[in-house]
Amino acid sequence: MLAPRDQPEISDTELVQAAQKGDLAAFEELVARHRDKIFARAYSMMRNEEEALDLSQDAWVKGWQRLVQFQGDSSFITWMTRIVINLCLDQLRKHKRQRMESIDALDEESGGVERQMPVVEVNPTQGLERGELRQRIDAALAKLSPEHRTALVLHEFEELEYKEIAKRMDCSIGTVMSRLFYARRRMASLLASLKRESLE
Amino acid sequence: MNEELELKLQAWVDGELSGAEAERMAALASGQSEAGQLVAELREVKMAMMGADIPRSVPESREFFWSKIEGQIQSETQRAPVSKPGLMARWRRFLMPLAGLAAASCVALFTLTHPKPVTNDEFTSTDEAMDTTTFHDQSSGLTVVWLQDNDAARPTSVRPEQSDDMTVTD
Amino acid sequence: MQLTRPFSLFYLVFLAACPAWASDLTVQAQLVWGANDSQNASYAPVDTGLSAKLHRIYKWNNYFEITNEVKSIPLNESRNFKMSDRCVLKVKNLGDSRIEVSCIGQGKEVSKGSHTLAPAKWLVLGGNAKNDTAWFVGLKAVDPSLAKRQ
Repeated sequence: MLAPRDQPEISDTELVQAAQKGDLAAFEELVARHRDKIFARAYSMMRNEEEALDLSQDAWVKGWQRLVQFQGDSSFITWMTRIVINLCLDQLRKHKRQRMESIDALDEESGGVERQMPVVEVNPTQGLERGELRQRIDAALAKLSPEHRTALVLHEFEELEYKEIAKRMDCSIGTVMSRLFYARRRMASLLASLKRESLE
Repeated sequence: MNEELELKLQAWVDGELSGAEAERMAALASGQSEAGQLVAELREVKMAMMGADIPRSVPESREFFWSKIEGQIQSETQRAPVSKPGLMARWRRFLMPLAGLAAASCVALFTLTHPKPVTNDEFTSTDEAMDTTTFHDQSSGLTVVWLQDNDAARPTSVRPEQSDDMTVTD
Repeated sequence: MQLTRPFSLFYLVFLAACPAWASDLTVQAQLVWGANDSQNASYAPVDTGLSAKLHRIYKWNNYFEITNEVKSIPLNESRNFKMSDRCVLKVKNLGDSRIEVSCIGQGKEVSKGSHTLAPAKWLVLGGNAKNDTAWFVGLKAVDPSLAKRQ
């Protein structure tokens, strides 16, 4: 059995191979190496620390159970990220609840509000330091609906194509395009208003 | 601009179009100011999103986080059906008489005088709504039994910068 | 239970060989509240030893002592430590510094286990409380002179 903590130079591939043979210590090392990334992805989708923790833990348990299926077609972390994304999507479907605000319902079904909005003329990101921009984007992402945010996260952070996003979100490519479009327009608007607030 | 055109412009910005369709959108973006402005806005948001994925750390120590995963893995494993009933049946036939003999010996030696010694530290939940997790911190000599109410949301409780000499027993 | 002569002899030999097993165990139980808000003037901070250990592991900034009881528990007997109106610990002395602890919340047993209280080592039971705070009960074997028999 490997003693991964004593051998930091062991690659993920070697750890995965050991874990596939039942070496739980090797799997624990993989968890330790990549837990932050998996948690961060879950958080970016759920925007709730407790849920993100639970879902990332569930993802690791599923990862262990399915490890024999991992063939190495992608990196281990990419494979694990897919697992946690699917768990988050399942959870978001469970959470889908009646929206209180009719405007949000309109957003979801037809993107009505953003469709009417003029293009943002003030460049919302101009002059912002990278760190400040990241915080603004994070704040704006938090304001999106789960469906809009998920589409944006999967496209921009996970770099998935439309058809892959459609498969994950269990919707049509047309719906993915609509959600992305209105998410981006909403982001532009939110970033602009955040910038205006900071200038006041 | 109608919605279909807007979505096609977006698809072009995202590199989802090719051939004649892509050329058509490129021409529209450069030839029509409304389309050009929309493309500029979409590109601005795309660029802003690049590298905006904020890294986050799990707000629990390595050991505490792992202890919950390990606990789940082990409980899932225990629920799995026995795969070799033949072998288990043979072991049971062999062990049962030995177990009976051992138990009888213990009773004869200890029943009247001495409580049966318990050799393992173990905490279990006696309430279905509760889970327990036990871990030991060797360096500070602390054993912690965390009682988790399954009906409540699970809050974080453990510092990330915990000692490496924590061990978990369940 | 009546002891027959052979078993009486066996018992006495046993006791002579292992005197510690026949003795009382003095246990200290502290109910501690973990919170980030430091504006809790009605409670004193928990002693520095336990506080340092809790700080090492848990995220809260402050640990307040709510109750502190010390009881002497004879061998094979139990004593109740009332931590609050809602929480009672029933601690049984199993001998050889070993205890069995039942955690009873609102009249219902929620957890049970056994543990060896080595000198100067704490056993801590904990759980979440409202408003992102936590409760802890620290158990430790202490000097018998600190206890009053009950």
